[in-house]
Amino acid sequence: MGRKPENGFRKGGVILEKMLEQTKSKFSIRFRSKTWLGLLLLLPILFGAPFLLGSYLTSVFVIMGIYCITTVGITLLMGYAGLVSLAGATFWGIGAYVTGIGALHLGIDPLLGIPFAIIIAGAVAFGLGWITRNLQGHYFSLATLGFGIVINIILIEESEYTGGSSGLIGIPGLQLGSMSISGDAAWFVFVWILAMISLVLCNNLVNSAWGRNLRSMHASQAASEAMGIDTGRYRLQAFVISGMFAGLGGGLYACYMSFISPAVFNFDMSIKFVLMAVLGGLGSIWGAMVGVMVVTLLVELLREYVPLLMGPSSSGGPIEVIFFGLLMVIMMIYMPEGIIGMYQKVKARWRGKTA
Amino acid sequence: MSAGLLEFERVTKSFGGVVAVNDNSFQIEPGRVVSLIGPNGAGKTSAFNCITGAYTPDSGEVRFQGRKIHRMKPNQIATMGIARTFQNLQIFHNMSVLENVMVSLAITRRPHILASMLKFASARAREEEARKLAMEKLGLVGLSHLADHPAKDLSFGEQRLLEVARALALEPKLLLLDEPMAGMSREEVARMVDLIRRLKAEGLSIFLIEHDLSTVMEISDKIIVLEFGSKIAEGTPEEISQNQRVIEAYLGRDVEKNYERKHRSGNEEPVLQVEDLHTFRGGIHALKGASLKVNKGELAVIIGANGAGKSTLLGTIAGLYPPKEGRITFQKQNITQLPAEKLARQGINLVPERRGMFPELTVEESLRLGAYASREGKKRIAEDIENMYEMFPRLKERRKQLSGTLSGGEQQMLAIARGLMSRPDVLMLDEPSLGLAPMIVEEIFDKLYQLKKMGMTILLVEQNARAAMKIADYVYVLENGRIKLEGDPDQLMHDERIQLAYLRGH
Repeated sequence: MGRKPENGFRKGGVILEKMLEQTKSKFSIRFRSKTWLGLLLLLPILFGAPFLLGSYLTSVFVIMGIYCITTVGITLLMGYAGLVSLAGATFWGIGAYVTGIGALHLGIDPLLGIPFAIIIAGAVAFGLGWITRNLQGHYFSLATLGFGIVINIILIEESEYTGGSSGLIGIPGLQLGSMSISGDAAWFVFVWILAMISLVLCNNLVNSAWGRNLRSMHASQAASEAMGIDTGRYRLQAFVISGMFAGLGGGLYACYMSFISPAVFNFDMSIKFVLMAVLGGLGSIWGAMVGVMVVTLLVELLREYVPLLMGPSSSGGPIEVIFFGLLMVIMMIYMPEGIIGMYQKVKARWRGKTA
Repeated sequence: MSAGLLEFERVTKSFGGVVAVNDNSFQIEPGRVVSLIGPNGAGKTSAFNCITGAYTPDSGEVRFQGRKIHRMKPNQIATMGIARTFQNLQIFHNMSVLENVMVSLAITRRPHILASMLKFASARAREEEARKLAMEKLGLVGLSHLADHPAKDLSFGEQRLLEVARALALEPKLLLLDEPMAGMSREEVARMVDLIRRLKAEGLSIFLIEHDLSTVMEISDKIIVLEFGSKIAEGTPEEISQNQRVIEAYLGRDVEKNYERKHRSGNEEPVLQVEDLHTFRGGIHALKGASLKVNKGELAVIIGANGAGKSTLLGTIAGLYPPKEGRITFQKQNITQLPAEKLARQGINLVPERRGMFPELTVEESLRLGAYASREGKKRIAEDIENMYEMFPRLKERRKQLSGTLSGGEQQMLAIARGLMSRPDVLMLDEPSLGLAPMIVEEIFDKLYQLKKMGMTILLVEQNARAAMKIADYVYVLENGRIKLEGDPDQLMHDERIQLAYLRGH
């Protein structure tokens, strides 16, 4: 256990590491881990992919990237802190609305609006996390559920700013200096760079001392406290970080879609975020990415094939609910550790056989 | 009055009418090994919890190095220098052995989040340092070779040692050990005793709860005795071992009760027969061809050291683990591949190790649940419950109490009564004595003997060989997944091989 398998990737990393060592970086961040190298290698794929995918699939992948940023936070919360939040879409919505309202009513450039949205989402998460600090298990989940419903009602009722149930229309896109991000290809690159950065940052975090302390709380709160860990503090931090990732995802969503309405940020969406995290696997941050891809592609397939199979008048909606419900049940029975967990198990067995 | 390292002054803590700690005072002097003993349910762990901050005392004061700590949070108390282990192991099962220890190091307690996200050199250097410090602690308890293993894969005894290593990583001034030797084999106990001696030599103060009295007498500088929440004695091991009140409270009257044995004639038809059983658990070949039989109305006992495969054997018979090879016959029927719930209906009932309580159910509800597999009518079930109360009067007193709030001995009685509610033909028990004081063990074994007298067929698995052999009709000795010895307990009692390997004195 412990050591990762040797492969070309790793060797490449070692060479790169030596090169960097010779240049004696002045920065305290050292590009040592193979993840950074992997990301460098991903760049050409990132720029090339939109041309291969075609515009429709590219737009689907942009949405995936945005979901991915949000789901990273959910995985952190569920898989590592052991907290199930049913307000994932709510913090996502807070991010979107802060960016949207900022741009449309206050004239704040979305480039500033998105960081602002991250801070607001984090602050709201801090507030909710503080109030619910003593709630355990299902009680915490129910509190987040209630919070999500309240926010949704506010979004509908406070129509002066939020546009009520018809939502906000005409949110401006992003302008990076003189370069404006327009078109699906540009968004694809931009969003996936951010998604990759989110994944790597979060992955670093859970594999650090901080992540270890968080996991200790998940395993045994009593023992964790007896070892000097301030579990309340860790729990709150995890919740705030998760809220901030959702805020970023929401801000990007608002700018990309240029239209948002409360119907997008409802309970169903929160459940879908949980589903993505669980399906991908809670044992690894990368599970978030896998889960998002699988669920989103399945949704697209359903949208495509349900009308063909059941007649053109039938829509994917209700079938989708049944399908994902069944999928969740099957997952829980046959692969409770998600796709990543399954993959790791198969890999371990395979290695055990060859060794 | 000399100032102790820890002063426990007139502390009281009660739970819904039950006074767990009743106006107790004592102190722990620096550099000493102090033991807290007393029969089960005496309030030992509650006293511990008042020190560590898990409980807040109703009244009284707890002072550590002169500072009041009884209103502080557990993590604050821990960082002041009081480390603990847990009676029911609380290792972090989702990480490696080394990581378990790294959690409690002071240098990784409050890592900077941004530095962690960006893997700053400072964060990585600190992790390296933490790794080194944690390895040192693992070396102290002799677990360095397992550092990178998942903690959940460790054996029971190793997990106990890991808890000690984890506690030591806090660099404590006072170490609290809650039954560090419970459920451990002889060699493991010796290892723990040696460790405690070494830690004491380094100047650490140790406060421990322990049932194994011979060990307590051996290592303690001072012993405090609790009974029903109150302190009844305090003194050196010599003083305590001669204190009449302690002897009565703790050990019970030392009656060499003679139990009647039922000898095998050799041509009985067995109720339960196991032939050449092979079972794998988690890739380990736990049973390697075990064979045994149980006759009707007999009390058969399987003894053996930790890890011999005792629980696996019972579990395989009860249908919890499917055997790879072999045959189990029950009342002339082949039951080898039947699942547990079917077997329970056919009349084989297993009272599991650690009792398998439903903590949220009351005593009476638990009993009712035990009758789930019974085909009897409501009236019979009500009669059965009354019978159980007659046999276990303590349960009647507590019929409305949540089973999670019972003491260990009471929980064991409830587990047995619950098992009997399904009116089984064979009752199997897995280590009913685990973690119980000798007097309670005697009481429970007495009940088992009475049950046998009433015609019940019993198959008992025990590590506490001496007590079990007293009531047994026939004994099997399990070693490394095979029956090594079997026979009449009177003969085996004097067999040197058993004396050496299994019997632990009180």
